[in-house]
Amino acid sequence: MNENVHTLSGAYALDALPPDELRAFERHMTQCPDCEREVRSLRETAARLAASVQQAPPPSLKGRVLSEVGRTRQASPIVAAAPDRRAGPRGRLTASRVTAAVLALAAVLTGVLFLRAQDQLDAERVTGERIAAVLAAPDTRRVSARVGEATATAIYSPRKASAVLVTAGMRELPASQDYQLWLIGADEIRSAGLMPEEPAPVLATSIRAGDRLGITIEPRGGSRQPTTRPLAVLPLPSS
Amino acid sequence: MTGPETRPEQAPPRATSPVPDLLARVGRGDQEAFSRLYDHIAAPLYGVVLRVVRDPSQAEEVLQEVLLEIWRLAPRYEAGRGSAMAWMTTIAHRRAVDRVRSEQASSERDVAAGHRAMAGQDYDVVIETVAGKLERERVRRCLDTLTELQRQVVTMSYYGGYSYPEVASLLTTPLGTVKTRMRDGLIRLRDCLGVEA
Repeated sequence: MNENVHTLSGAYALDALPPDELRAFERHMTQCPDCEREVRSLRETAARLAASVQQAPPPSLKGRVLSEVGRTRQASPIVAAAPDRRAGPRGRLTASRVTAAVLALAAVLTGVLFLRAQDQLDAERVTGERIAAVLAAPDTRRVSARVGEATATAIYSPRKASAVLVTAGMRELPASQDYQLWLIGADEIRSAGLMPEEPAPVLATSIRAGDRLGITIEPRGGSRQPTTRPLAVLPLPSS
Repeated sequence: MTGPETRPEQAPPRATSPVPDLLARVGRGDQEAFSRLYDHIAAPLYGVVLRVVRDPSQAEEVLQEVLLEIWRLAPRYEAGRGSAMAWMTTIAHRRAVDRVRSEQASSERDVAAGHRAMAGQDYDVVIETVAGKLERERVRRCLDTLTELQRQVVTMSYYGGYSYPEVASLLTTPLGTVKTRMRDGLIRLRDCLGVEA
């Protein structure tokens, strides 16, 4: 690989790269498992530099943080906009069985992509009921786009203000990055959550009329606003 | 590559650390686990944020954001992608660096601070925790195995929050040299500390 880019692993692990080189290096890492491994070990090393300067914060901080935590909603493992996190594993399993059945039905109607999606369905992680409800909605429409070699298809229900995104053949990202979905409106861009590591249908909710659905590569855990150019932007036609 | 003087230091007792388990429980929405996790991570994270941000009240503000971010993102942490502590430290360090770099955008950075960090003068801050003291001794011994330039570029960027071009300009050293020293310095530190990826 490019020796020059590769030497940036140290600066990357120290968070010492300027933004343009940061993006270049993260792109490079997607094709360089060795760099990714090296970065991981250097990150662990940097964490030791942090542990060696530890110092207790003011004691009053803990109470403040804990009360904030009580009011702060956690991100879902896959979709930021996902609904009911309280559902236990058993509930989710049942829900995703329902989803699988609906997906199989939908495959006949909307094409072969769904067959793949069904194969890829990850019972633990899919917010099944909501996805099933979107796919079963009477007003769904389907939009596809190429993402390099891959395909992204959105099944959108204006009535449910939700869309299910199914991808096939997306390039695997290094551990330091995630695919993030965005709802791109006329005057603001909202995160619609991260894509799961294993390909599985992803749910985006709270879609407004005129929104488009974008996909970007972001640092792991996602960003508040997109930091890279979208790989694909899918229109979500409401009529 | 690893000489006798860079023999791995005794690793800290991470195997018994409750942190990974606590973070996993936090990822399932367990607030009581978060309260316990706080006791383990607040000092290491505050230490590094304070190093970078320098102002205690700003550091506290950044740390509060970081801790809430950890709470929020815990469901997405996957153990296969690195240790729990490294994951949380990365969030804290990035957030601290973002804070100083955004401030610097409009005004010139405190060059004197850079030189202090470079000279390692403010390396000796008061360490309040026992774990911190042990870890500090280990890390310090290993930092001593680095060349002068390796040690400078690593500590300036990590503790000072400087980007590598800034480090290069503060040290009047070519860019290419700085990024190479950052990498081989960290690698040497990693091997000395016996860090497992």
